[in-house]
Amino acid sequence: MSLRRRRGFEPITIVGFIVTLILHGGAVTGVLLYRRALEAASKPPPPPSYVVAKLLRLGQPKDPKKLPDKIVPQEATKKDEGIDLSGDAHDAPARKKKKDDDAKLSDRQRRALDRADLLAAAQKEIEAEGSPDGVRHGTATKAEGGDPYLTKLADLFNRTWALPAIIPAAEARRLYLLMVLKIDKDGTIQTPIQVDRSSGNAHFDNSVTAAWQRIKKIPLPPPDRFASMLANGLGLKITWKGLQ
Amino acid sequence: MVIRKLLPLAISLCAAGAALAQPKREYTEISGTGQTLYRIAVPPVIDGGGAADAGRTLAAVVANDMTLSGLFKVLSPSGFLANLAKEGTGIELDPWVNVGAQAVVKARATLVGGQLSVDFYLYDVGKGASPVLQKSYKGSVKGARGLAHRFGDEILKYYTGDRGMFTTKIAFVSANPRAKSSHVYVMDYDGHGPYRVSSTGNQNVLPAWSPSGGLVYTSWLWNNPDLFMVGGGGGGGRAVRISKQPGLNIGAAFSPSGGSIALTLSRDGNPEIYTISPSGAIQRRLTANGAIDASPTFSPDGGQIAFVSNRGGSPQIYVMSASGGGARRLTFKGNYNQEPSWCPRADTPLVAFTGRDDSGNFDIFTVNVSSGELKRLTQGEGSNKSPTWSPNGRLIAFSSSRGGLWLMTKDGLNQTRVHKGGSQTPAWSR
Repeated sequence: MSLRRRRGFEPITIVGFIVTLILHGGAVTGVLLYRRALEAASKPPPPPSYVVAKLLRLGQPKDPKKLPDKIVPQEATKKDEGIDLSGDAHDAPARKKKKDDDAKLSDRQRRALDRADLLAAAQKEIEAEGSPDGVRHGTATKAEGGDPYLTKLADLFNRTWALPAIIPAAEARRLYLLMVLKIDKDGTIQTPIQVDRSSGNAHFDNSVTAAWQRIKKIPLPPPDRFASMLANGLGLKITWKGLQ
Repeated sequence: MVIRKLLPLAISLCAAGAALAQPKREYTEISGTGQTLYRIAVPPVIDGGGAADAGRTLAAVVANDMTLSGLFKVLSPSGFLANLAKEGTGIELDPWVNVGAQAVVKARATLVGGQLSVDFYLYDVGKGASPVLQKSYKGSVKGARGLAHRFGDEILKYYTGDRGMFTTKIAFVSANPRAKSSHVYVMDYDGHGPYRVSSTGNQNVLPAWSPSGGLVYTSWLWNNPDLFMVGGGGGGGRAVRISKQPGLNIGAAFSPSGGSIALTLSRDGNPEIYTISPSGAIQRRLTANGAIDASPTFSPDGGQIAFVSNRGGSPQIYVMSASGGGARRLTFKGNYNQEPSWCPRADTPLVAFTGRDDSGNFDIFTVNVSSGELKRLTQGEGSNKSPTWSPNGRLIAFSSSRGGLWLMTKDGLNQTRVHKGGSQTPAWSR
């Protein structure tokens, strides 16, 4: 009898054992979870993920270790490019001819032609003001900024004059020549050119005065300055900046 | 009497008054950007008697000098409008102005008793019809080219103030693979009349000029790369061995004064740069490290030396004091920069060198010693190596895989072949 009792467990003992195990397990799990929560709270936050953006101006960035490419300098200014100065003198007769022709047309034809002219003019304007590949001196046919007359003169001079290569660029950037451009009533340049202050380099001075002599004739100044220019000439400071 | 005394004073006062009365003039600035070659005409030389052939040579040489200078455009004689027979050695301005000539070279040559007499005239069209330069020379017919070069030098000096380079020489090495030999040759700067200089051994390399016209080069005559010198007061035409240190005696460069030669010696095992006297006595050891230091070249004032070193891991150009020490790296781009040559102009702090680009091609570059700015002078036209400056610092000679020796301006323009044969490591006389 006593042997049987020793070998067996009371049901209450078993239930108590299970309840004890559950309680201990819960307590241990709670402590572990609490510690993990504490650790998580004390850790620094994970680094945020960034999207790296580089601002590229012209294609790929240059390799700082790479040897440079050769820079090919632009050719000297050519004479046969740039603004057409002959347009002013011929504008009036061209308009007159158009008026005479128009007189022979019917109203309907005239309206159709006017519309066509407008379309053509718009198209011409778009084409004349730029080129995707770039064009030396641009493609503009009229100077819109600054003084249009002086812009014309500067362009005319720059198409004729270029610094002689015998003058080093570094020296040329320091030189300037003060001169007066005097003209006759028809725009013919009076020679010899009046030099108010030499640049100090005879080759520079000669090349400038020779260029004006080659130009021979300039467009007439606008009416508001015609008399003044005829009487006093136009003071010019000639410098050379080179290609930047 | 009183009136006479007061008259100048009255005139001066009137002039001053007039000047004050004039309004101050305003000047509108016009800036140019283009640069153009100076247009020069070289019409046929007038034959004063028996000198027609020499005259053709004279005109051709002057015209070629002007073209090679990179400063002038020689106008084609077919476009001349001037009546040359009527003009003689003078000029009428209008026909030359009309063809765009800015300068005209006239000459008359006469052959008397085997001696050539030449009168040269230079006209600057902008200055009128009087010659701005006039020179007379006498010499043998054979020396006609030399007379023309001398006037070419005068033209260059007139327009730029610089010493001309048309009478200078270029030394170079030409290898003969079949004979397994390489020899040092010298020619006129324009490639005319090359002749062999080295008579020692089969392998002769890396020539360099002394300021007095002597030439040094390395030869294996005695089975060691020793330094030899020929000419320039160093034994006449016979080559004299001036440095025979064990190992390398190579890559010599004279100081501007001629008092010392910088070169690479490997007497202690590692290639280092030393200076020696023109007689070969060691003056100073300039570098001391485990890297290879080679190819020294002096600055115009003789105070600094540029050289090649691989102390930073790859061959790069460095600069140090001519007495050694204070070395600083000059090139940081590219991984194989060598063969430096310092521009002899004091106002142009440039070192030309050979650099290998990322495509494995060799090209000529310059680096500004002051700013470190790099500029590429050759690109896309074969491999180009071994730059050497003209004595006035206006041109650079170099060897090219396009064949032969070439000249170009210091901006890399006007590249022209002057010698067709195989040629390496040119050295321009001082």
